[in-house]
Amino acid sequence: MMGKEENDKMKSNRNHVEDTVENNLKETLLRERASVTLEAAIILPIFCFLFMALNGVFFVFSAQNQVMHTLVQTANSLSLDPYWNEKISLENTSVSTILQRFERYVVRDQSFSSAESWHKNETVSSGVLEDRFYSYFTGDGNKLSAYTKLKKLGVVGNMELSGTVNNGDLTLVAKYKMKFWFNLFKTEPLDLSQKVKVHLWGLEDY
Amino acid sequence: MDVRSEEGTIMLEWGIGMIFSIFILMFFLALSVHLYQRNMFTAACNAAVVRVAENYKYEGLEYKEEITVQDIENIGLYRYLSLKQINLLIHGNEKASSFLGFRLTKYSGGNGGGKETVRVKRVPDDLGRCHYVLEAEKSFDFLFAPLLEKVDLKESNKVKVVAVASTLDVLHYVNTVHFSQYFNNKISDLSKIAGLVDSFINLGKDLFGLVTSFGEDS
Repeated sequence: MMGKEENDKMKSNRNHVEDTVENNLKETLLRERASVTLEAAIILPIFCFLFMALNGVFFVFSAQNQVMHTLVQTANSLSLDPYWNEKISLENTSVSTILQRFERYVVRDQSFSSAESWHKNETVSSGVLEDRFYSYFTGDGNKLSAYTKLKKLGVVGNMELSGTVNNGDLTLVAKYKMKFWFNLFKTEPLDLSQKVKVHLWGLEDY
Repeated sequence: MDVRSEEGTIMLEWGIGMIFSIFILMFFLALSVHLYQRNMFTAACNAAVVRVAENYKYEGLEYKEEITVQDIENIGLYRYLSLKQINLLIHGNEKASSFLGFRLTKYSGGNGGGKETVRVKRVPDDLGRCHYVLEAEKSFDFLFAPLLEKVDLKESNKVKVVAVASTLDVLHYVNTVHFSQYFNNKISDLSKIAGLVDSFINLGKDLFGLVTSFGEDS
């Protein structure tokens, strides 16, 4: 008999405890209602902004990667120009040279090769350099599509290209500004500069 | 406190709020994956076209580390003028495809989606010079691609890249310059009319030089 009474008492106590816990939990949850929405409303925008900023860094890396590839290829291509231009010097006006010039005129793609002896100056003329760079950048030499591509990558304004010749070496520098794709704090565009150096072919003095 | 009347609010909150939050997070993840894959694919294409430019003249050889003296001797002259150029182009396309496929396994998610299509072109720049154009396209499978299309990122699961590289076959360039000079000199020497014209030009030059030197002296 005693055992049964104790059992009933224990059951009653357990039910009481369970009811108390359940009520407390409900009260706690109800007291904190809408907390998920509130937390999401704060955390989600922060998370989204961070993601956008991270994606902006992707664009910077991508632009740097593509500009460097183009700059290397432009330098390789320009380094070949002096060889033929030295062989056909401007002073030489024999029939043989005139024939060579005619052959080149027929075959040459002016965007990817130049008959100008730019290597005799200290700097590469901007026309030759820009034509070559944008041709390697897009593959078709269309400046408009090159500008559009640069703009899509986040490059602000025009790219500043310069080439200097020193001791038979050609140094190309590309300077440009890049804005972040998602510029939350309105920071100034990044100043980026990339440089490539090659030796020129066909210069007998070096 | 009337607990019963507030029952279900938590479930509702979690049911709507959490799904909405997860949806937004997934969207941003998909966008990041898209940008990452686009960048990596572009980098891989740039590397592939440089590799093709390096090894184009070696027909079947894919890596420059494999090149032997024998391979260099076997290249032969007039390789881009003879029928051999068809073989070179076929091998160039195979090399680009193989290298790009290998390179895409080097970053996560690069090998997923559809098979990439690669096409290599050899475009002449000048006598003895050229550049290589690699056009590649690949579709990537990732979440929310249809949704990205709705926010004006059309064909977001397709990435098209055009990569260009300059020729690295300088020996061919130098030989062509020399051959052209030799050939034109021969024509100039053999042709009497050309020889006569040449003499006239030289005479004119000499006279002009003489007049100039007189002018400078006086």
